[in-house]
Amino acid sequence: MQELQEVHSVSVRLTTLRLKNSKHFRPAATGYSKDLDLIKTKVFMEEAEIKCQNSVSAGFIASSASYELKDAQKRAVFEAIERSTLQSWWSMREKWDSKLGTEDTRKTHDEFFNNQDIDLSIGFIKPVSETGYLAIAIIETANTYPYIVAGSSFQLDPLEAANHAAIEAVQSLNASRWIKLNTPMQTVYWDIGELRLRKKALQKIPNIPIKPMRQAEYPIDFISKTYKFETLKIGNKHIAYVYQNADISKKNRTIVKTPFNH
Amino acid sequence: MGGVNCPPGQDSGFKQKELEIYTDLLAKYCENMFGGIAAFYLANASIEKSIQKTSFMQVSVIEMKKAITLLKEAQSSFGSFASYASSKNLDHVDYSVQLENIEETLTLLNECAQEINNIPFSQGQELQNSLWRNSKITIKMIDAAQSIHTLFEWQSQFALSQKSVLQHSN
Repeated sequence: MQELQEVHSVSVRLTTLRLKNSKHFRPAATGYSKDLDLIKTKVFMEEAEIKCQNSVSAGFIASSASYELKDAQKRAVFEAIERSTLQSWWSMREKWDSKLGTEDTRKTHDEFFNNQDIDLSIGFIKPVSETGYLAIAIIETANTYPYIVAGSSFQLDPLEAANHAAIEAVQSLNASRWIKLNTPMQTVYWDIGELRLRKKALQKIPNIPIKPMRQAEYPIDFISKTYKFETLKIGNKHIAYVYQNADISKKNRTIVKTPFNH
Repeated sequence: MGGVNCPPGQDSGFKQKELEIYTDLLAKYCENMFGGIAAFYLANASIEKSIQKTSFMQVSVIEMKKAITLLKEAQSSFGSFASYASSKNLDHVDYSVQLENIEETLTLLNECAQEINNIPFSQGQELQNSLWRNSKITIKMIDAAQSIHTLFEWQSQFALSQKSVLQHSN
C-alpha cells in the first residue's frame, strides 16, 4: 500500500490526506480527523478513478470508485449532477436559490475553524436534477493566499449537502496552499472578483430557516433519462462512469470543467 | 500612467473573444490599482494643503478611504485576471506575488487611515507641529508609499515580460 501524507489543514477538525509520491496534489481526500480510515479509503478510491480516467470516451461527465458497485454509481451520478449544475451556475451567472441559516452556518464555522478569522458562507442553487440539494460553500481567508475559495456538494439532504460543501471548500483551501508551496508552477488562482460578487449576492438573500427543507427523493427518472453508466472492476474496487445519454443534445456533451474542480 | 500592462504574448493563440476578456480584466484591475494609488497620493496632498492654509483634512480622510476601497477592488479584479490568464497556459507568471503586494498595501493603508483619524483638528503650522511631534503617521505613510512602489515594480516587470513589447520598443 502506498504511503499517505497529511497536508496542513486550515481546519482544526478536518484532515486532508494525499498520496505521498504523487507528482500532483491529487489523489487526495478530506474528512473528519476522527474518521481517518474513511479518508484513507477515499484517497485510494480517487487514485483508482484517476488511473482509469484515460480510458473515458466522449460524453464523459464524472466517475467515482467504491467497494460497492451501487455506491460507486450513486456517487458518480451525484458528481455528474454537481458538475453540470455548477457549470451553468458559474458560466451563466445563475442566481442563488437559498442560503443556509445564520445559526447553522455559525455552528459549522465554529466546528471547523474555532476562533480563526475566516469567513464562511453557504448557499444552495437549483440542481439540474430538480430534486436534491446542491450546496456551495465559500471560504474567505483573512489577508492570506488564496484569499477566497469554494467547494460544493450534491446530496439528498440539505444539511448533509451543506456540510460536505464546507468540507470540500476546506480541501480547496488546503490544496491551493499545498500546491503553491510544493509545485509553485501550478499555483491555483481562484477568481477572487467573481467569487466575492457571488458571496455578496448570497448575503443579500433573506434568511430562510433550513428546517422546512426535507430530504429529497432519489431522482431516478432524471438519472435514467439523462445519463448512462459504464462500470469497471479493478481488484476489489468498482469504478462507475457517468456519460451523457446519447439522446441528449450534442451541445451538452463535453467534459464539464468549473472553477471548482481544479 | 495608463497602459502599464502586458499583452498575452505572441504565442498565446488567443481568439478574438479571449483577447477581449483578457484585455477587459487587465484594464479593470489597472484602473482600480492606479485609481487607488492616485487616491493615496491625493490624501497626502490634502494634508500638505492643510499645512499651508485651510484644513483639507476631511478630504484626506475621504481620499484614504477611497484608496482602500479601490485597492480592495484591485485585489478582486486582479484575482479574476490571474485566474483567467493562468487557465490559458500563458508563460508562467507568479501572480500570487502581486496579490500579496496588494494585501500588504491594504494593511498599511488601513493603518494610515486610522492615524489620519487620530490627527488633532488643526491647520497651518499647528498641524505641522503635531505631525512632527507624532512621527507615527509619517512612518505609516512612508511604509504605504514603499509598498505602493512594490506594486509599481511588479506591474512594470509584468508589463515588460512579453517579448512582443520588448521587440516593439527596440
